[in-house]
Amino acid sequence: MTRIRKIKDTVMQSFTWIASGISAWVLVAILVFIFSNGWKLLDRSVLFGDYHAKNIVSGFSDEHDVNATFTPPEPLEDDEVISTRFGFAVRDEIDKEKNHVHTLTWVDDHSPLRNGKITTAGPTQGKPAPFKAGMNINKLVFIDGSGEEITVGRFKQQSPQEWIPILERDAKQITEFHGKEPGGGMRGSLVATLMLIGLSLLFSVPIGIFAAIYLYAIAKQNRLTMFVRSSIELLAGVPSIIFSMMGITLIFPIIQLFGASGQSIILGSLTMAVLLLPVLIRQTEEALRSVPSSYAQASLALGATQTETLFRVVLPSARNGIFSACLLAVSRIIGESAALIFTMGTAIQDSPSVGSGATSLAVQIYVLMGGENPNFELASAISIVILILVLALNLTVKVVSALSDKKGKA
Amino acid sequence: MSASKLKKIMNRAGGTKKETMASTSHSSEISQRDHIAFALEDVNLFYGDFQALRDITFDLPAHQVTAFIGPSGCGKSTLLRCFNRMNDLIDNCRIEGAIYRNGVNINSDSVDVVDLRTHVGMVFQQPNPFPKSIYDNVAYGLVCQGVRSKKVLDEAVASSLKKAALWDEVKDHLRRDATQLSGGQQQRLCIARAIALQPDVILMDEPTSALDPIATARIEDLITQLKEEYTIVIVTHSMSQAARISDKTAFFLLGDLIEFGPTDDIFQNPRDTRTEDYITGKFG
Repeated sequence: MTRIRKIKDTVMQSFTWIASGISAWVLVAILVFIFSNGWKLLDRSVLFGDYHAKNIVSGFSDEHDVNATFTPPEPLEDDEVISTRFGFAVRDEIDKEKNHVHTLTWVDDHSPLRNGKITTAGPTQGKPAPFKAGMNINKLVFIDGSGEEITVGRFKQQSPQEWIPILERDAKQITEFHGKEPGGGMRGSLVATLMLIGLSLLFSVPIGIFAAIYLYAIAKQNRLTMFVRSSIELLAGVPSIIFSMMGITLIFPIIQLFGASGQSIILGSLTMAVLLLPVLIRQTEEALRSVPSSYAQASLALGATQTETLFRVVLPSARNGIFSACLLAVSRIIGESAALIFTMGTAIQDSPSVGSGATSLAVQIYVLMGGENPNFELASAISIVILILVLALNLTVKVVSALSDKKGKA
Repeated sequence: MSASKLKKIMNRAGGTKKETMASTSHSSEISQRDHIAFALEDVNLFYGDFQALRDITFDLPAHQVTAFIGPSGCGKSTLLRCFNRMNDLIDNCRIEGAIYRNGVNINSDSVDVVDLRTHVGMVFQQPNPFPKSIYDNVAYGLVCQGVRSKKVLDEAVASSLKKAALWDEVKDHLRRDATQLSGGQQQRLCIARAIALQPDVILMDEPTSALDPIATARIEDLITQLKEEYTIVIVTHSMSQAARISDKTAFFLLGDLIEFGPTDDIFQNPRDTRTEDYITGKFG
């Protein structure tokens, strides 16, 4: 008898181990997958670089000093090929879109390349071309001793080891440079996400706090209040894609009055604000309820009005809880994609503005993975950023609530 | 006693201390009436269907310490909360009868509750300072009144803390969080907070029941000092405390006022056998 009971106990216990083990394993698996794919890629150029590659064509009119020689400030690595006459070095690389490129690894401050002016028609025509390490060279045109124009570079299927010596040997004057500033960065989405967070909170936090105060202290406890409260509860359960549809049908006409056209960050923010309201109201009311009623009694007994009591005593005492609610709202905004696809669009922007469409970090992942060639690496790199932000926010919430617990006990 | 006559008396009851002092010289009868802080007339109080107070009629003396005693649930705290209308906060609470203060029934609709509470301060059972600085706690009532002058606030905070015998302990760290003070200090801070509004009356609802004996002794000393300036009504479960600090004692039982009179009489020659039984510890 006892034996059977022991076995039963062990079996039941092992179920609990397995269940919690699976949960922990899933988290570890996600982290391993994301980090192994994205960590290599995650550097300054990905975090703060543009997403769209920029082509640069520049021409050179000044005469170069034919006898100049340049030396790199630090010894170059084996796969870098140096042009001592023109003061730059190039490496054959595979870029974030998996193409072979010739990347500039060093450009001397006095290199003739720095005298290039942009020749592409447009507002930047005639401006100095921005030559810097990290840029790709596709094609170089130069004039040799006999006045003949010669084209070298990846454009001609040459490796750096082939075309740099030709340049060194024959070039008298570089006339044209075709380069590309590589893309694949997330700066635009990062900025758009920050704008989205700021605007969403700007709209939702005041409304959420005042609505919570109303429900907590001012509303009469009758059927109407109960109806309002249960509506808010239900609103919290509405899937975000439905909020997205509501955004384009209901909020869009409103912002149109103020001149915004089509999908934009402002439309996304307003939609997110509506989406966040129920959670904010509920958690703020929760925070207000956790304030000891003795504070309110003391305040009223000192001849404060109900409103003074609410805003001078109860609300400040609930500020940690409200702050936590706002942080959780922020992590909700960072993670949200469905509500933003219709309202902010899926066009990745390098310099987002409030009145035009852009992608948040999460939507950029959606775009990267939705194309014909899913870009796992970049998506994973963005995921790392999202995970770090969300984990940091959650930790802050934990610290804040631990601090206020400690204070409450003291 | 007719209501109109009573009102006339009450009109005088709210007079300044100087006036009441002057009137004592005229006749002992008038002086007694002038020293009334609250006159209660047939006060009945209901929580829904439950009657918590039954036909309470007595005059509460000014500038004395009056103790309310009685077993739990006898209505003594409920009556205390009638004096600053804190029972308004309870949803299904209904009060009948009149409580006159300065000749005005404080239960009438025309009375401004906020104004009443600035004149009738309250100290609670659990010390409940706000989670703000010591200074902000004491200044709170005045700030709500619209006082903004730093000089006025500074003076009020200092004098209130001095009167509450807390100044010497906290004068160097007025900006410290009040919740870090000890329980006894917190309770004295709550008394200072009430004093800052310069009330006539201070209601104390078992102010020492959460404190240790030493802190209790300090609060009791404080109460005997404060009665010079304020009318003090204290609810207490401690017979010895009532005997030590109060001038008058009211004994309540199941919503009835059984006996009210000078503390010495109540404790030494109780007229009612129920009072005697309670005081001698036969029940309660």
